[in-house]
Amino acid sequence: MASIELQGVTKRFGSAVMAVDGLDLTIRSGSFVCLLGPSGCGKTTTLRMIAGLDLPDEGEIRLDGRILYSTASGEYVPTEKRGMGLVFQSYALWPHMTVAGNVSFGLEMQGLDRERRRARVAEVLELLHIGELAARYPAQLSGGQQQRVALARMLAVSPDILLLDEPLSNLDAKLRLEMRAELKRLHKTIGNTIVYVTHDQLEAMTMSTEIAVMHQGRLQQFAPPMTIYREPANLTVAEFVGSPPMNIIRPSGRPGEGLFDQLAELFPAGAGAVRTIGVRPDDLAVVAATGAAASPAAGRRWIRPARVETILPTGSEWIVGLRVEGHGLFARAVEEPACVPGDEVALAAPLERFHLFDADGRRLSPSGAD
Amino acid sequence: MKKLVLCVVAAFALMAGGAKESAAQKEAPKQPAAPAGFDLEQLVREARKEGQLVAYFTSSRIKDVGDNFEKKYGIKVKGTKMADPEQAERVIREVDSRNVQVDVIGFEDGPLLEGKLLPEGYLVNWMPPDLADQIPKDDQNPLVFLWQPRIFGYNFEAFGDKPPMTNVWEMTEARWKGKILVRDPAQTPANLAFFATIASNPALMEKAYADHTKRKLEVKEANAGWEFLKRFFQNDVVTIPSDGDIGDAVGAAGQKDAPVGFYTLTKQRDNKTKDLKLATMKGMQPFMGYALPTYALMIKGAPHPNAAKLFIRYILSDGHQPWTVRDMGAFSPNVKAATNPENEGSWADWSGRLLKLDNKVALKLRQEILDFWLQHGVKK
Amino acid sequence: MIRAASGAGRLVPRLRMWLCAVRSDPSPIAAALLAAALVWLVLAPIGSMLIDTVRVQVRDSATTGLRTGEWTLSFLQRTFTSRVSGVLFWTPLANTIVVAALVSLIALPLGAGLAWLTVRTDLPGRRILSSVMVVPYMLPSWTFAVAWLTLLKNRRLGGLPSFAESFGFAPPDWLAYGALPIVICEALHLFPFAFLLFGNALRSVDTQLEESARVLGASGGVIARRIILPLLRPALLSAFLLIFSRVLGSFGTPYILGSGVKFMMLPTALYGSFKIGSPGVAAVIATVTIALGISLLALDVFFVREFKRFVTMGGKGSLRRAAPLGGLRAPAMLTAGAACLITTLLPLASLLASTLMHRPGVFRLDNFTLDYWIAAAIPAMPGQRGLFLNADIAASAWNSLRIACAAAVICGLVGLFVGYLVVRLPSTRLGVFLRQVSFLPYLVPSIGFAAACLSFFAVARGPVPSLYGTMTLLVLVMAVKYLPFASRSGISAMMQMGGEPEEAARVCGAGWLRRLARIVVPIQKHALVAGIVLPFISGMKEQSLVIMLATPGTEVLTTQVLRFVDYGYSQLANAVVLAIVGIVFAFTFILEKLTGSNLASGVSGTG
Repeated sequence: MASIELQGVTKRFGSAVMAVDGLDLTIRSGSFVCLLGPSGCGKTTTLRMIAGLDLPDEGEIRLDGRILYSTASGEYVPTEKRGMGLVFQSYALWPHMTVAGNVSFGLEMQGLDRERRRARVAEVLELLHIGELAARYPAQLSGGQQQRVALARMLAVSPDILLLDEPLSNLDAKLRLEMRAELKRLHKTIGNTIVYVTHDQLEAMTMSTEIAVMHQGRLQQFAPPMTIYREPANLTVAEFVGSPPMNIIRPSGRPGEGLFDQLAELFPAGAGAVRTIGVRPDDLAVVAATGAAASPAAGRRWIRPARVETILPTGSEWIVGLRVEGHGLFARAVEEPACVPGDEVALAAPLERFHLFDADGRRLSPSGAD
Repeated sequence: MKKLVLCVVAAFALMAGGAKESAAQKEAPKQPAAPAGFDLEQLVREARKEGQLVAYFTSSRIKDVGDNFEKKYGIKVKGTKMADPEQAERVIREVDSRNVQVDVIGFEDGPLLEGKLLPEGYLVNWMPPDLADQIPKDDQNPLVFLWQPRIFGYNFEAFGDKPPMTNVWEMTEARWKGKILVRDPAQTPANLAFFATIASNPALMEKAYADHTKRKLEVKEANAGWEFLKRFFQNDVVTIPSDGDIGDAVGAAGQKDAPVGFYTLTKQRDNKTKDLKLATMKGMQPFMGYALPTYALMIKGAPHPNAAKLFIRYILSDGHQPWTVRDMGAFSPNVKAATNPENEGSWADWSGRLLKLDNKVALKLRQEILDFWLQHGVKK
Repeated sequence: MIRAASGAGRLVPRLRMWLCAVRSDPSPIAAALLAAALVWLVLAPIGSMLIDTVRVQVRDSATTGLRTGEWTLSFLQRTFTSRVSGVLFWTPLANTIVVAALVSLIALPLGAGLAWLTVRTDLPGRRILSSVMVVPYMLPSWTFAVAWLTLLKNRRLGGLPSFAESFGFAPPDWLAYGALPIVICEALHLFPFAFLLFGNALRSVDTQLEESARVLGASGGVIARRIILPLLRPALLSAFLLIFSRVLGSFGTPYILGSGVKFMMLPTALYGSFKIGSPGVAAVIATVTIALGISLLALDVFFVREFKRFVTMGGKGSLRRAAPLGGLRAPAMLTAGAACLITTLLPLASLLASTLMHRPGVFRLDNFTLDYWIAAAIPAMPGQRGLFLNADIAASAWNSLRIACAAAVICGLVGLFVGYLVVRLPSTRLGVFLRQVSFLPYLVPSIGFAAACLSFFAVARGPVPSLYGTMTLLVLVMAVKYLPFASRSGISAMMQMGGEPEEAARVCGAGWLRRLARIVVPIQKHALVAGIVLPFISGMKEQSLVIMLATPGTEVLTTQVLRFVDYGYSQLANAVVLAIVGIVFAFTFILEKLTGSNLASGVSGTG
């Protein structure tokens, strides 16, 4: 198995656009790493540089310590020799070859004889449950089937590294769920290192061992999913991950909207540095408006009166829009809330579930009790 | 995919076939040592070893002659009918690029030959030694293998037995405007030479004018010869690509007002095959036309030199029959040669009726004559 | 954090990097080599021709008294300012311009009108009309000229009578030869190009533009004037420039119809000077022809950006409202039908009829004959046999096929390769340069280009031997001249394919050659076939290019026709024309069936 190390990798398109900026990233052997971020954040470019299809302008890429690319020494191992696997977003199946032909191409390049190729192709197709499609042409397959063929083509040569570029974005929701499970199963079975590019944070959260959140070419945070979720390293990560997104509370100069100031007082440790406070909707609970006027920080809990403005049922949960101290906040309820728009209720959250960010958006030390 | 590769390979194989042929011909030709005496047998032997002979001739008869040659000696001949300018172009290019493919030419552009191609070594003049006493000295260098009268002719069905013209100056008269057909001077070097010779014989032309009109010629151009040419060209002379076309146009039956033409006498053989009504303007003064020589020469660096020599000797001895005996209108310089009875006389007779071309003058005046023609004959 | 050293210290690693990258993907090197080769093949001959305008060659030394190799301005002086310059150059130039203008005047409205009828109205049978209009493209450009002579010549040049003469009518000179027939024949040959260009343009006009105008209350006439016409202006200009440049380079028609009455145009003037043996003057005329042609077509390229011409006509199939013709239906059908007949059936029928008769137009039983097709000997044509038995014609046909095939295959492969390289290096200077250079041969008029290549390749240059008189020269010149078509289709095909199939193969471990052979070429089969078929058709009917280059050993069908015309063997000449047309049709049909592609859609992209 194999680990990948990127050091100081930079890529520019033209003279202005910085696609990837000084990326340092180490992907452990056997891990399932998602490169997550909005369009244009550099994740696909990074993947292509790992594959060797694009060349960095600066930096170094290593595979198990072996240099694949180095600006300093000028070494460059071309794509054909890197022994990685890649699935494109569009699958890029070759239309003039059958499924079996597509899958066995890589084996041919490796020099395997016909018998061994046939055996391996059958094996891989079985693994992905598409054995009966061997003689068909890509044009005759459905989207999901094509996707499996692309996977089979990648797996046939037993690459150390699997690279996937948003492979599920062309599938419908049901298929996507199936494929996600499938991929996770494969990872468990085969245990290769997987690098997976996606803009869908649900995918990243459910499938990966670590997520690398990228934004405008820079790495924002590299950590296991739950860490990303619970302890976002900066405001960008915090706002990107989580659905519905985190509530962001900023100081407002207007009278009667002192929510930020109130909250800030609760965290004296961060006094002065705190500029933004966030709290996730799932950490906010809608409770009856009793005793809310008492000390806002009862124990390690924060509670304030709020007015319900909207209730949005999604089918599996309810998103409740409320106004607190003039700020609009969203709370998530897994059971039908016993209130209607216009009601006066109270909103409560544990103090340790608040996130504090400084002027640069960076996370401040975890909020402790005062 | 494989099919495509096969097609590509096939395409190149076909091309290579052609290329190989020329490569074979490019092997250095053997230059035989000059024999002390002339040995015909040895020449034949050497020639047979060389392979197919390539010849360019101005006459289409070359095909028949080539077939006869093959029957006699077993050497194949690839004969092509080709006009003078093209022959000259090819010879020059091939010799310059050292990729000579043609061995022998039958060529009518005497001035270029004498002035350029022979002196600068593009062509080699070879006179068969054993025929030296059968060919007149004047015709030996450069070697002439065929003489043809190029004469003024008319349609006897339209005009009767008496020719409608008796003097060349009649061709400058309004009656014949647009009714005289000649081969395009720009493409026919021999015609240019003819005009050049006229331009350098003013006395002849002046006398002819006086004889015809009983008046003195008013000369506005450089001399009487140029004056004739100007008036002749300005009479809307119609240019035709070939002698055969001229013959067809002039001699076609059923014409009430037929044109007259300037063509090689041999075209009158078509009187029988195509039902033409051609006749020569007998007694035309000061000449009925000119004597057109066809020269036979070898190319320098020819790939089959001995076959070329054998061929030249052949057409000077018994090989000339398709030209001179089978059909009328052409003469071999060989004094022993047989001749066609319909020829209206022997070559000696004809020589007296025709203007003989002066190659040196013709080359010197060629550009001027051509320009004169372009100015007066082409501009409407 | 690793930061690379700056300045000179980076040179060695960068060089190393570049070497590694290029070994895995030699595209930049291949592109550089190909661009250099094309520049050499196109610009070097033109440069050589420029030199020939001021340098004395052997043939000229005979007539001018100057030494071979001497530098001189005499050819320029002779062509532009001497007493004979009018005949040699200025009159042919004026004639060419006048003819081109008149041809445009006829062909543009005719083509535009028919295009409108086909695309925008409910003319019955318009689909048939569309496919029939591709046929004139398959005919050699001078077919009409040969047919015209067969029908309408007079006694001036002698030879066999025409159909008109046999019916008792003697056409006057101005009708039988010269400017009028040339203009008509060229217009008939060229208006299908206008038809195709306008058809494309009309089809790609978004009807939503018109419909919005209609919704806003504009009438049909206003829409035509203010919306459609301006959108068609590029097509109009393009068609005009295309027609002009075609007339400039077209040799066959003026030769066949003009030489007899001394009506010279630039191509025949060029050829004439060359044949007389004035290579210096020929070089000057050729240079002017080339310069004119380049300017015209460069104008076209700048006004109508090249890619616009090849916009794929797909769209969402918006409902097109066909304008009802109503009372105009009958006249429209008549016009369209007449256009079809005159441009396709009439010339072929008259040619065929003439080959079946000894004397054209004499409809007596004893005058009909199959001699010219199958006789072992023809009395009027010594040494010649009927077409099917004629060894010369067979040899010419074989040469035509060989040369056209070889050139077409080279064209197709190189064209696809150019497309590959241009798409792989899209925005680098090299990619742009390659794209423009591959377009260059299109700008040079055929006969001028042939003259230039003859002058350049007739001499050995370094390792390359003299190509004079070889088939290689013909193939080379043809392949270069038609490359623009093939590379255009190659570029658009590669753009449609995208880069990912090849990248997927790279990931699977395939090297550059393997990728090209196993992935790129098989996927681009159809584009490759189109890149081969169209040059093949053009090659089979090409005359202007080959007339300067073919020699007795490399005679092709199109030059054979001219030889027969010169000898006066009209029936054989006409038979050979029909043979050319037959071969082209047969091959096209077979190839269409084999590959399942449609020629008309390919042709409309080439013009």
